[in-house]
Amino acid sequence: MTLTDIAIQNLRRRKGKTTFLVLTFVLVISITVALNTLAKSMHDDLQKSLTQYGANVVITPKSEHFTLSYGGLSVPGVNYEVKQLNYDSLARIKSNPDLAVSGIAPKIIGSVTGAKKRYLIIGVDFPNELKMKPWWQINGRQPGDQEVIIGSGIASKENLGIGSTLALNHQNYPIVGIMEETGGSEDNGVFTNFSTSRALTGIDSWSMIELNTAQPNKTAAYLSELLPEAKVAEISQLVQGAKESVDRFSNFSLITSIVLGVIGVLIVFVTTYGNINDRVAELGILQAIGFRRRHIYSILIREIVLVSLSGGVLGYLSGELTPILLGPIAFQKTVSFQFNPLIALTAISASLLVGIVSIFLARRAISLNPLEALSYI
Amino acid sequence: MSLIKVCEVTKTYKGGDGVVEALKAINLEIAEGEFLALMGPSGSGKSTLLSVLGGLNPPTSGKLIIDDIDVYALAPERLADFRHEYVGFVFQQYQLIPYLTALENVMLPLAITSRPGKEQQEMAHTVLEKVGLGSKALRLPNQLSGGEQNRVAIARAIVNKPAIIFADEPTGSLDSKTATELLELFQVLNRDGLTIIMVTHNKENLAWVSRAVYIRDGILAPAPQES
Repeated sequence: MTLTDIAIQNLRRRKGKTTFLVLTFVLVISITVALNTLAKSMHDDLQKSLTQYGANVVITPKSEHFTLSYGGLSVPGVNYEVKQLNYDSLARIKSNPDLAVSGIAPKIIGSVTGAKKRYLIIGVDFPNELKMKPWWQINGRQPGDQEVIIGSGIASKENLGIGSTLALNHQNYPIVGIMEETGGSEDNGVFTNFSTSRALTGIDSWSMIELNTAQPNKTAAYLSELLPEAKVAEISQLVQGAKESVDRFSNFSLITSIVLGVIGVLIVFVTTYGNINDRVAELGILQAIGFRRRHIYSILIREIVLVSLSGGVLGYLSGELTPILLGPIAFQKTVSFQFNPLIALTAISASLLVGIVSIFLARRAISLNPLEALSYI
Repeated sequence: MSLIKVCEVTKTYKGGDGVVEALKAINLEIAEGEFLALMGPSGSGKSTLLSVLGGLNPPTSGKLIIDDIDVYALAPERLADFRHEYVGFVFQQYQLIPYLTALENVMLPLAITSRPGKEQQEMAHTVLEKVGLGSKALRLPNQLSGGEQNRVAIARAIVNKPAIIFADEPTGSLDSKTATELLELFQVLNRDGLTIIMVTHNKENLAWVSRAVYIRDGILAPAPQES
């Protein structure tokens, strides 16, 4: 028999108290890790989106918007006085050397009637577009005149592949490539060059121009003056709302974690203190038969280490798994399992620290001399 | 030759009514191999003297010498080692650890030795057989009768082969048959060379001991006259 055996036997035979303590650790660690994992995942997604956008300035035609309000409740209204981004606006941007534009990708976007439904047509200049969007992976080749590429969603839903044709405006267009799944609206788009998209949609202006520039702030301000018919937006501004939501959720997670942590620490302290005080006589017996005080500390520390370590590990694992299970339901968000050594180490170390400190809070009971301790019988 | 020498031992407590003198300048010598009964009425100081002799309760003044060791001059950790090496206790309420089996309770004093687990088990089994509980080694204390728990407590006290056994009213809560069996067991252990010091108030137990010491109001006293 070793001191560890004594610790394990005590935990085994006091199942109720042991389970309660382990569950306290599991719950506190689990909720804290889950909230932080979700907050980190949301923050990472936002960061990823920002860095993935090849473009950092987006130019669209300006329009006036009329919002309908019913008793203070606003509902989507109508756009009117929709301006056009003429083809010469591209030339005006390109001809200005002060803008430091490193990438420019205009688009013609419209919809066209197909055999069974309407399709989103996106006319792009593929060499420029692919520089801005390196995540666009095309199986096949880039389309020439009267040729198209389709998104993976259309390909799978309509069982189309390279070599098939797509009927648009009562004319068949050969499919020369399929864009791999991006998770975005591209998956349901039909891509072609400018001349074909212009012919298909009848749109004779740019629907949108994406820019990549070293100084998005300054560029956006300058372009707003240069192109009075355009609405110029920085992408960082577009995601400002999302960033504020993520920041609010991060703050909520932090505050909840702190409150839960304090409650958890108090529960562990009070429970451990009570458990040790209940065992004063038992500790007196051990001292009477020759156990040194350090042997007794050693048994109690082994017990709490076993409890807090298992609670910490289970809590961490459950905290990482909870967002995976609940993310899609509660946040409409897919979270993948990622072992985060820093969070794991922090969670488990915090459990161990709280557990060990709780033993020392009960040192008065442990420090009683054997006769005093036995008098608790 | 004296194994235990008690020199001018005094023990005082601070109580509600001021200072209480539980032991008053006690002098006593106990030879190796004695089976000694400490007798006296309730509150006479016999349990206090036993706890002082067992290294559990430092005297207010005076010395306790066991095997030429000034027991209370030892540092607390060395005092614990001394108890482990020299002393075995049998408490009135047995004081078994409730979550350990009989075998594990007996193995407790061996848990802080460097003996391997198998050797510990063999030693514990041997003493459990000696006290007649070999077949109940895996039972928890609450699955044993009072007499059986007492035997486990004795097995735990002797497993580490101490020089002295201190027993505080070991027959106090037993029926007469079980008490007799226990005293017979003590006598066997005493014949094997163990020094046994037992607190008792039962005069019938005197038939089993080699010497009785009476204590009254904290001082050693002559044996009371039979009326």
